[in-house]
Amino acid sequence: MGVNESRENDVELLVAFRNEATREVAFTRLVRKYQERLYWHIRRMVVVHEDADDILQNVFIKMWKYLADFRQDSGLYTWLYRIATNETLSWMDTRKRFAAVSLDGNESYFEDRITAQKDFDPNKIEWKLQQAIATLPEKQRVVFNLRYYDEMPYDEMSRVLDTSEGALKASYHHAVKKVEEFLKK
Amino acid sequence: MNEEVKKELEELKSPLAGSKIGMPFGGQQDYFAGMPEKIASIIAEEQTNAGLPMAVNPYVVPVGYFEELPARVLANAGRPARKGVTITFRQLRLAAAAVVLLVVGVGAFVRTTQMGTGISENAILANVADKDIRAYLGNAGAPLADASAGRYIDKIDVKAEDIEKYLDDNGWDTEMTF
Repeated sequence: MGVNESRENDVELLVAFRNEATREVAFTRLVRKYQERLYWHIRRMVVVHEDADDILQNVFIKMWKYLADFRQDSGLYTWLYRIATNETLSWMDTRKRFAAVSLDGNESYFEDRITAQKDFDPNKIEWKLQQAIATLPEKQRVVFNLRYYDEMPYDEMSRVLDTSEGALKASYHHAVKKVEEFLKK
Repeated sequence: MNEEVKKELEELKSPLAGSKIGMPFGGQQDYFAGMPEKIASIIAEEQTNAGLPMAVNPYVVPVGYFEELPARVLANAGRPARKGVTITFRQLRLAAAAVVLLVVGVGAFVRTTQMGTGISENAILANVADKDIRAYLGNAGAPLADASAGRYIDKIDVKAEDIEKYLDDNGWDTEMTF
């Protein structure tokens, strides 16, 4: 499904959502359409399934509450990624305050969560990569995940994160170098 | 891997440029299948709670019940009820302001009085003729030529050293000798 086709579907679903009679059906279709992408976007940041689930539910509850007022300045996909990213970062901020740990830089908080995962194997490259990503500052981690895993174009990412494309490219390149260094250890 | 992402990693000479490394996290079985229903039930619950009537107390209390309650309790305890005095916060603030004004006023009065004494002594000495002072210093206790000056000097408790200091500050008569 191309981006344009996807956008057209979103517009149709949005029209259906604004109609009281078809709202719930449209909502269900929208959740089904975006749930996996958003879930993995969140899960890669917070690691633990239960936390990702809580955040994802908040994202969709916000969608239910505010979608009728969505102005379509950006695509629905961008809007949902924005909500998911903001919800995730604010969850991390809250966790940082309550756990009194810094989530920036080389703190071990997320690395510990990774090693506590079922099936964790430090010899497997996919786990090592997750450990490397966990050492990145949180905003750089978002950029790396959106680019590497979601393969999001920089212009789209610029709208999601409200940051210039140049700054995002620089951030991604720094992140790649740091990940490489970690993997070489 | 998307060609654009792959090319970018190749330009960075990154080992990540090969085949994409997957996510190792295990998903929960049927997690996504039930997601829309799960969200819908949370929203429905929120809406149900939001639809509850406001927490209004349906019971009524007889008029004046709480005002009369202390008196009734005391009466039942076998003691005459004392009429309590209620001091409002406004009254308390006014009383505090009055105390502050009183303290400031008394302080200002005491200060002014003390300063006033000093000024009046200097003023009195300025009014006394040098010859009278000379005579006083030469003949301690002798009547002064100027009765009014004598009246001034007798009234105030001034030491001879203080008078000498005054004359040092204000100038001695050149004819004066001791």
